[in-house]
Amino acid sequence: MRTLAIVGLLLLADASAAEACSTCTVGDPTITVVGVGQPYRNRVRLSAGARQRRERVGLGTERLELLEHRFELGVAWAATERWVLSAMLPLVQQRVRYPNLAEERRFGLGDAELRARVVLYRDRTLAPRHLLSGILGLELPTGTRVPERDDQVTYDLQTGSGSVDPIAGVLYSRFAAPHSVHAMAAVVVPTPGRYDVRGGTSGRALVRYQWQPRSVGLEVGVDGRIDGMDRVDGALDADSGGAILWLSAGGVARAGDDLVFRVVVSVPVVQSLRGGHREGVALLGTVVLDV
Amino acid sequence: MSERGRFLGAFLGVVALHCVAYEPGIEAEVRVAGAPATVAFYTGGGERVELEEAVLHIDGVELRRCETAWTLGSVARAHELELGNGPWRLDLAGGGTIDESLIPAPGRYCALVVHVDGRAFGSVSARLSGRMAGATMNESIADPFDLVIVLPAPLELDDPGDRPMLELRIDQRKLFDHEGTLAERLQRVATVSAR
Repeated sequence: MRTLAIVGLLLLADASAAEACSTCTVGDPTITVVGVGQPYRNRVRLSAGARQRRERVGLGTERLELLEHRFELGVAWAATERWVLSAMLPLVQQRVRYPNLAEERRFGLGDAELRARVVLYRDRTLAPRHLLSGILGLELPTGTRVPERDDQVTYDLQTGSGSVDPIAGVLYSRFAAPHSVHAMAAVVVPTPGRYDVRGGTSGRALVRYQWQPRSVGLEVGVDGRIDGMDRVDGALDADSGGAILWLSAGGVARAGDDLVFRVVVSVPVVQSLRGGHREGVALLGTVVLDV
Repeated sequence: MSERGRFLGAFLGVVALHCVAYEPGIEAEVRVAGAPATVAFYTGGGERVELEEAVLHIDGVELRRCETAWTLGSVARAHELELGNGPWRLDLAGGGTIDESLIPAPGRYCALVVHVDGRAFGSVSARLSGRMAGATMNESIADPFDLVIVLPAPLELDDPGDRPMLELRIDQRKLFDHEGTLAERLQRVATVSAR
């Protein structure tokens, strides 16, 4: 309540100054990253993220190892207090190690993503405690097509899916500073792609709790994903799909009014992916700037 | 060009850029060949042989790990990812050869295995025909079989730069110096050298 009162006084005292401060305008000190923030008209957020992940594909002497670094550039614009439009473009660097120790290094574009988020329920305009949003999006086949090696085919280790993949989901956020919780469930329904592969329908869910007593905070979360089988040339690929559950932990921090940092480590704790797919520890670092 | 235009140009340049670099890993070159072709030769017993055909239908060539070298059947094909892995028709009497590049995973290898199988050709697995001591000779094996040839020394492959060369020679001239089925005699006349 004290925070709310201070923010209210600030708004009354200097509306223009308040508009320049995203936290003040939102009325809530919770640090949020792009995609889960409290929207207000014309809020524009830029983000840059770096992500590292490892994956193994195949069994025994046929196992491939992937080390991937993604650099993601994003922008989100709240067209109104209900609608937020965002775009994200990843640059991808991969190192694939083949069973015979051959190595392939690739650099190129990943699949761009366009999203629209609509706030379906907001309990109050300033400092909302409950936010329920719907999410609609598209993953676009902008990923660089990496030539497949004749002797070592790796269509499932491309930098993108090569298909238009619609996304739909819901996001619920609870803000009760210094605590906040986000829960999201989404489904991705890939369409036929350029590698004669149609990805399986994928269901994703996450729950994230953040404790942020000051301008820094800690977060823990659970991410899950269930993937259907891919279809290759119309036939089900028995080496695809499955389920995976991650535990994640990290920290968030704010520098000044408009700069947010987030670092997260995710560890796969349950893996039931087919075809010898094994995911490794993933690291994520993000910087978000309100402009 | 405005500053915004230059920024946009640089940005598009970066996103359009892509590259792939490939560094080869372990590769083993394998050659399967017979003895030099001759019109006729004599067996150890002094009989004259004129071979018209000594055909092997080969489904694959495998470098086998030491821990599985003595098991039956195909356990650890090192060439599973290899393109052009059979089937081949190899006529030892005609001086034919097979050159194969295997891409094995790191490990210790003790044997070279040749999978002789004619099913891909709708034919027998191995066939000999010609004349021996003036009489017509025809001999064949319909069922698939493996030739398992032990390497002179275990092959340690653990570095991406390892490039062993293996030469398997099946001396068709000595086939008539041994007793047994054609498969057993092929096994006895096959030798491998590595460098």
